[in-house]
Amino acid sequence: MSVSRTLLALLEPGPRHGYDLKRAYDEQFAQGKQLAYGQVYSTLSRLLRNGLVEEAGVEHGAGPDRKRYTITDAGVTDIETWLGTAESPEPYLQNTLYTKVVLALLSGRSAQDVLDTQRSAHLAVMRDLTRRKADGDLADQLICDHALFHLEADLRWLELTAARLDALAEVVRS
Amino acid sequence: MTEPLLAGRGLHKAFGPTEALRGADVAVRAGEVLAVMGPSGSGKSTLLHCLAGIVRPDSGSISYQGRDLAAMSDGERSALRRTDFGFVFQFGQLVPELTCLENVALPLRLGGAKRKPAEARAQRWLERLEVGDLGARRPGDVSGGQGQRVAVARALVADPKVIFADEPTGALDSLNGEKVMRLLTEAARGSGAAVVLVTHEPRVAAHSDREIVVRDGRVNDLELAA
Amino acid sequence: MIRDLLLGLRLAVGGGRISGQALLRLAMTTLGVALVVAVLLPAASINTLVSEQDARQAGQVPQTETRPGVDPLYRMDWFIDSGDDYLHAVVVAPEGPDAPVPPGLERVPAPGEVVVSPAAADYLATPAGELARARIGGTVVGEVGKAGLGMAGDRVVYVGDTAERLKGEEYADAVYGFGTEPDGFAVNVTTAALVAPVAVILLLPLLIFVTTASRMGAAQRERRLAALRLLGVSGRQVRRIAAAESLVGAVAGLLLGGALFLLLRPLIGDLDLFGMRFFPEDFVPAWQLVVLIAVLVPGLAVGAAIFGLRRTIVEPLGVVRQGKPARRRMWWRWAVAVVGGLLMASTLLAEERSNAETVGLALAAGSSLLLIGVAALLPWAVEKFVAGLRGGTPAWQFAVRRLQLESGTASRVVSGLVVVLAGAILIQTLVGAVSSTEPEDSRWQAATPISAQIAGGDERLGEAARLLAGTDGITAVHEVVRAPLRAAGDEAGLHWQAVIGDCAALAAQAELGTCADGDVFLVGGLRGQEHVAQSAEPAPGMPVRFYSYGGDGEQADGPQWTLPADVRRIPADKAMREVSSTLLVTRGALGGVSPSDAERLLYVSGTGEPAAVFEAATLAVGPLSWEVDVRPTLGASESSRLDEATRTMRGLLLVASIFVLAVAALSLLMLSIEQIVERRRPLAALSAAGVPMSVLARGSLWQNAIPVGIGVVLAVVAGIGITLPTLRYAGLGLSLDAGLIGMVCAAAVLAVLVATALTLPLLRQVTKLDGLRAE
Repeated sequence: MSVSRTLLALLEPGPRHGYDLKRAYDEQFAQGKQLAYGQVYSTLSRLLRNGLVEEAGVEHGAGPDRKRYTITDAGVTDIETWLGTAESPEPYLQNTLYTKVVLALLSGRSAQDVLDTQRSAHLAVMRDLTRRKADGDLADQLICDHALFHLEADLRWLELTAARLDALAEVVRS
Repeated sequence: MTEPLLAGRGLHKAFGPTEALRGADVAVRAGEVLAVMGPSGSGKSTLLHCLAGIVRPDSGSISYQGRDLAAMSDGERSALRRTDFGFVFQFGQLVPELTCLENVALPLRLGGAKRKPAEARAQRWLERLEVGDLGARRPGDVSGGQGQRVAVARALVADPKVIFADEPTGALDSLNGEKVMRLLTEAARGSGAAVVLVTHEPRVAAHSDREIVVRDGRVNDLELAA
Repeated sequence: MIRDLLLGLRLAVGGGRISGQALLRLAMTTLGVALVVAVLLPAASINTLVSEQDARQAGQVPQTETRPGVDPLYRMDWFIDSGDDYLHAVVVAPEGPDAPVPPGLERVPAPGEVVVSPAAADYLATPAGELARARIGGTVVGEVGKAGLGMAGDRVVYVGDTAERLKGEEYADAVYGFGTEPDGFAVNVTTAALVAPVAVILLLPLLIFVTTASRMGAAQRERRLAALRLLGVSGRQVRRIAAAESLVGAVAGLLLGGALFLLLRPLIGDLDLFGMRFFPEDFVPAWQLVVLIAVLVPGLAVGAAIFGLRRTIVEPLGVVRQGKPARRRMWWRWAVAVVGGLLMASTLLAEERSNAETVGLALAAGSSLLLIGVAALLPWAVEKFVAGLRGGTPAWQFAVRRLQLESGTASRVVSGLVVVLAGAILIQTLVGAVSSTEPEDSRWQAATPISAQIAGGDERLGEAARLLAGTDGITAVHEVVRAPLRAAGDEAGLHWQAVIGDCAALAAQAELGTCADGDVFLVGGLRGQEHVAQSAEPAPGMPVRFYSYGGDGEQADGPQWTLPADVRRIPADKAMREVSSTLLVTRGALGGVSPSDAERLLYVSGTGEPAAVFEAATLAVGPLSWEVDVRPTLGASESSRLDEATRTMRGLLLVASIFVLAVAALSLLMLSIEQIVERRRPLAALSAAGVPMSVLARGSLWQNAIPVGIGVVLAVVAGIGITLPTLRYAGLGLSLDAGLIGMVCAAAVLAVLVATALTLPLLRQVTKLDGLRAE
């Protein structure tokens, strides 16, 4: 995930201090991994350099750096382009699980067992996520759902593979 | 290990030439949510029907609290289903001409309860499932998700020991399915009922405590072996 | 357009694979239409039937004007009465070879030859006909053809005799030809007014049945039509396709109905309706009516299918029902019933038996309107009744909630039943009341009752008395004279009958107490005729006059006579029925006055059964054949004939009621089947959840029983409402046949039970596992 674009997008509603930005980021996206101050300031200076943000004055008073940043027109355009561009879908054509299944079949072991073991593991994680969802807020729910759907996709593939094991065994062993 | 609440051993069932179950061993412990998974046509629903005493298996035994369901008469099994089990199906299980409240109160009424107390209790269950305002409406006038919640309330109203849910979210979208599953498992756990949940959706199965997989009419429940 | 219809046809018969419900719908539509057609075709034949019969009867009218070159045929009617039945014999004798031959005969039978109609032949072959056979004598040489009969059941016998014997006979005519112009039958307004309600009562349930059948499985059909819309079929085309689908059943029903009519027509000849039998070949419907039936009846089935779609818009993605169904319009239903009720009530102001035509009309119109009104009010009544219901057992709740949701169809099915049941109560009660006016007090009989009366000329009676004298079982033959008389000087006033005989003859007819020559007795009137008797009481010492009827039907005065100062009264229940309101006069009381129009009779009594005595008497006077008229006395025989008519009437009504009830039960059955199929999932789910079959079955039972129950209550109320004013007006006792009403209710209960029982196998099947499977 691009931290610089995220910070840029967080600036779009209105000018903010660097500290505000970090807090907003942590609240929405950190997932237990907070952003370091250093990374915030280095990112902001890079954005300044590229003309995507500009300084909007300094507030006098207590505290370390009370500089406020605001987004430029170029910055808005950049965000628009980024949001409008599709992420490149990454197919996992050769993942470990597939390799395991093929290897099990080749070595005459039970591919079914491999799949069953994997299903239990997947479901265990999914149960965990489901429980977290029940306790969490909306953001937690959305993120857990994202993970759940991905895990579900894996499991669906597992089911399909299980149904096709005989055909697969023939292809692999021939 | 304590004796399971409900256990099927060596279940076989054929419909004409098709063998739906070819040796299934399952155990359901009190209060647990057990997901029965497997591809369509694998015999999930037949297993549920056998465990619930709707269908008598060709061979094998089903013990429930020390009694063998397979050896009970049709009437005895009906009575047992009425008093000890609750059911949620995919759709269309509510009696269309009765109001939602009357639908929920029905198991209590069949158990001999008077109308007023039965409906008061049904109303509390509707509220627990967040559809307390739908009592006067007929099933045809509520959405699919609301209807399933009413069905869940009906399944739970008579304090069953086991709830059998056959694809309870099969006709719902993800969001509504999610909600129904959460309410179903929460309510069941709250009242200590076990749930036998037939589904082919992993996300639905993720609401369970434990899963078994039926494949080609066979299932080997490790719990039972233990 | 044709393509749409063809598509609809293909869908109806469905390329080999046809669902059970579609098949049932097809079968039921076919059956319903067939029954309608089978009822309508004979009704359409009535005109032909009656005009044919009219033409034949007109052809049999004897012409007595002399014609040149034609020899007269002597002809005399001779009614042979054997108590329970009678036979119409015609004694014929030609004067010469050129005498006319009666229609239906090949030639005039020679003396000693007998020609009989088929019905008469059948009758004579039975044990009951033996006596008549003995009296007729001769040998049967032929059969009376159709031209000689009015109806197939006419018992006609032509007896050949000599011209010499017949010529001098008082009642014989010289006939020179047969036949007049037929009157030209046309269904008149009164007949139509009488027939129309009956037809409506019979047809209404059938029409309801047809419309119910053609709308069966509507949901399934609508889904299929929606699928067609998705393929690009227009809404208009969908209607045409639906019409074509129902047309299949309608046309099949039309053909089946026609076939039924042709198949059953020969059986009509065996059907005995009040002793009337028709010639099956006379049942030829008028072609205009056949065309009308062929167009209207299928049109009705098709119309019902389209009408069923009226509030439904079949869209490509499913079926949309337009809003809530319109609220039942109430005012006209109430208006019809209230107008009917007012008309019925208005007749209460009229005097009993006042015989005013307007009162009769008011009764007819009032009862019809009341019946229609009640039928129209039924759906409303069911709705109201059900709407107020709460609670009850789960089974009851199922039924009530179901009816609250939709009771219209069930009510329509039942409303036909209401009309018929109410009508049946009216007719049966009327029939019962009429037959119960046959007074019980007519059963009085002397120790040796009079069993036969013989009439004839003086000489012949003397001969008959001689023949009877030596007969076993006959103990007494009394000679009496019967003559009419009236108050002197008052031609339009009081009329009585006098029976004149010796004390022994009179004592055989009434309980006289003491009797001496010169006494006069007055027998009271029968119950139900008292008001006539009272106003017509002959006073002692009153001058009276015998009279006679001339050939032109005018009264001719006879001798005057004065009643003696002492006339003893005898109550009606102490006399034979024949002599009620009659003066019994000993010969001495007349003082030499001889009545002008005296009918001489022999009263025959004997020991043993009256029938046996009658038979002995008949056989004894056998040699006199038609020269004397032998009759059994009234009493047992007459009332048994009436009883039989009542029984026939009751039987017919019962058959009609059962037919209508069966049709209604069949409609209920279809409705139940459809509802079970529609709700197969919830039913299966309930059964899975342990709900016993019995609860579901009881739900079905209540669901049928509630509308039928309300219908029966309404029918009984309406039936009593139309019966009591009619009874009162007719001057009959205000009594209701509780047994009959009970029977009607029992039949309705039975219909509900049967219809529900027939749905049980389906319910059992639905509640098995199948219903749980996802579609």
